[in-house]
Amino acid sequence: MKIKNLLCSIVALTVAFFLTYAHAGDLSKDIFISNAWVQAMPPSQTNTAVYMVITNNSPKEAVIVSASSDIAGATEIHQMSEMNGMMNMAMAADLHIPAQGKLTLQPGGFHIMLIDLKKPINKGDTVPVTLHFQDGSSMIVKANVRGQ
Amino acid sequence: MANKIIILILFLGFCIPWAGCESQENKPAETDLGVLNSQRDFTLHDQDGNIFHLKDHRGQIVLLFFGYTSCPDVCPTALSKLARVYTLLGPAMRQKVLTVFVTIDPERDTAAKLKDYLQYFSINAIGLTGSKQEIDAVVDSYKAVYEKVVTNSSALGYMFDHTDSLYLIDTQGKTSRLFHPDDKALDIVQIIKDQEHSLWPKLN
Repeated sequence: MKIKNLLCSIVALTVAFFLTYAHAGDLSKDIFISNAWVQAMPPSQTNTAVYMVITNNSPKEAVIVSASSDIAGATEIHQMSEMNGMMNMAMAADLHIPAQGKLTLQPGGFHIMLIDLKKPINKGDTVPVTLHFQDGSSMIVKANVRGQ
Repeated sequence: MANKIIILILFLGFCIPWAGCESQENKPAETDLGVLNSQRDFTLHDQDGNIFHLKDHRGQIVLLFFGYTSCPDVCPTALSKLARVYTLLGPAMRQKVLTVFVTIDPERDTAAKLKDYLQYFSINAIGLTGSKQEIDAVVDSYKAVYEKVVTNSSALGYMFDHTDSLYLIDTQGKTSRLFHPDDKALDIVQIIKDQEHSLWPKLN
């Protein structure tokens, strides 16, 4: 009886451990990216925007604190907002993806800006962008260069 | 008395439908900046270094936009939509509709850069620039606004907040409509075609 109770306790603790810690430390494993694309620009332009749909299957909010890309001198998160027919662009400190929810980066909203491209990007190319999460994890997204 | 009632009913029957009737095609956008139906002219320098007078383009429909080539979102989105508009309009209409892109960033947007930028989107477009004072005069004339926002924390150095409307200027130089980012290419095409067709009785 005591052994049975002990075994039950071990099983219960093990299950509790995995439920508690399985999602900690690497939120990117619960993040899925779809429709990742980059605005194609003329060769003379060295800035462009990256868009995507970020789905969070975790029971916790996911927070992306920065992004980076080897093809750009600088990578920043920006947010567009419109008021009275005027479009405003501002730097965003982070991106919050709700638990069991999604965030869409799209024209007129959030985008990841690639600044000072090191080489021209053409329609059909694939651009790697790394998303860095608040918990220290990161994931690489392959975004397709295209027009709209 | 009965005759009066009949006349009243007929009168109301005629008036009520008309009272609720509004031409949806001519209904101005919710935010028209108060610039509709007024004829304007302006002068700037085009991407080839030539003088551009808007009045020289009477007879064409002009789509006017204030933007800058380093713009990552609003401007390429608007120009990509215009690319679809031109595709839907077809080759016969292409030369009748001129897109005029006035830069609000003459510091960075050289004439050559404007030309290269606009050519990329495969639209019938011309880029215009000038001194800040010259550009501001045109911006003010159309009651557009822009603001240079110095952003030391950004690698860009500065960004622009700016009016994102697309002005439809008719063949008489009058601003007849403002399009906004949520206007669809198909709807823009239909309105342009309606503008074109409305001229035929006058031309003939």
